[in-house]
Amino acid sequence: MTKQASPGPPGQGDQDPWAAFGYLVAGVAFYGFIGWALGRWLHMAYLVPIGIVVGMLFGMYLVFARYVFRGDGTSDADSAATKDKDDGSAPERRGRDHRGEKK
Amino acid sequence: MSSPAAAGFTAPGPIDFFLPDFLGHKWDQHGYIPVLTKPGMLLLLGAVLAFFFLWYTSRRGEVVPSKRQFFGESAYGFIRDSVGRDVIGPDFLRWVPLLVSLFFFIIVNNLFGIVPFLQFPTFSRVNYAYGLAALVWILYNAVGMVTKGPLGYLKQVTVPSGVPWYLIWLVAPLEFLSNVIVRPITLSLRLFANMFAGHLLIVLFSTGGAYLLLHATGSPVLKPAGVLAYVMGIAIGFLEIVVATLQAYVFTLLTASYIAGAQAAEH
Repeated sequence: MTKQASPGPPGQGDQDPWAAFGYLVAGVAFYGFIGWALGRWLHMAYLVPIGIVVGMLFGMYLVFARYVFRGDGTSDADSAATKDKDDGSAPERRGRDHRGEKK
Repeated sequence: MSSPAAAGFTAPGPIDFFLPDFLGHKWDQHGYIPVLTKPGMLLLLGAVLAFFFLWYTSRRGEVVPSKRQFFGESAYGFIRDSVGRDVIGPDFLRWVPLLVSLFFFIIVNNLFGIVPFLQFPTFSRVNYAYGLAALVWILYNAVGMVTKGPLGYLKQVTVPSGVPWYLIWLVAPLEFLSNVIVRPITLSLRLFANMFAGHLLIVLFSTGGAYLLLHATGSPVLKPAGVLAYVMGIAIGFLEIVVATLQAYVFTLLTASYIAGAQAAEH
C-alpha cells in the first residue's frame, strides 16, 4: 500500500551501529575482569591478556551474529513479516495521522 | 625551542570548564552551589527557549502557514518523520512530543556555545549529559518492562538472537552489559565529548590568538599567526553549528532507537 521512502522497513529498532562498540567494550571488560580475578586467585597473571583477547573474540562474534549472519536469512523474513502486519492496519492509521497533522 | 611566547602562555584545559558560582565560590570550595553557575542557568534558559520556540511557531496554526509557522513545522516534521516514524514505526506518534522536546532542548543548549556573551555549551559539563542519558535510560528500560514484563525484558536484553545454545551462556553477560551498561555511557559521553572538544578548541584559538597578537615577542611571524588563530577560531565556530545540530539529532535518533528496541516484539 503506502511505500516507505526510507531504506528498510520502519520500526525495526535495530539500527544502532554503536551496539557493535558496546559488544567489544563489554567483551573486553567482562572477560578481562574474569581473567584478572582468576589470575589473582591462581597466581597466573597472564590470564588477564588471555581474558581480554577471549572477550574481544566473543564481542566480535556477537557483532557478526547480529549484523552479518542474520543479514540474509532471518532479516528478510522479519521484514516480510513486518510488511504483512503493516498491510493490515498500520498504513491507514499512519496516513490518516499525517493528514490530520498537516492541517 | 623555549621561545618567550611559550613561556608566558597558559594553554586552556579541562579546568577552564569549572566555572565559579555566582556567589564567587570556586568549584572545590566549601559552599559551592552547582545550580547557581553559568551552565546551570544556561540549562534553565535552554528549556525556556526551546519551549518558547515551539510555542511561538505553533501558537496560531493556520492551514496556509506563515513563514514562522512553516519554519517550526518543518523542524518538527523532520524529527517526527525521519526520527519518530522511520525508527519507531507504526506506534510512533506518542513518542513524538518527547523526541521533539529532546531535540530542541539539546540543540539550544549546544548552540549556546557560539552565542556571544553566553558562549558555553551546557553539555560540555559531563554531569548534565549524564543526567540526560539517565532520563533516556530509565525511560527505555521502563518501556521494555511494561511492554514485556520484567522477566521478558530481562530475557530480551540478556539473550542475543541468532546464537546457538552452547554459546549463549558465554555471550549473555556481554549482551546484558552492552544493552544496559554501555548504552547510557556512550550516549552521554558522545554528547559531552563533542561539545567539550569543540568549546576547548574555540577557547584555545581565542586565548592563543589574543596572546600572540598582544603579548608575544621575539619573532615577526607571531602577530600574523595570532590573526590566523582568530580566523581558525571563527572557522571552528561555524563547524560548531554543524556539530551542535548533529549531536542533538544523534542523541534524539538513538533515544528513538532504544525505545523502538525496547518495544519490538522480537529482535
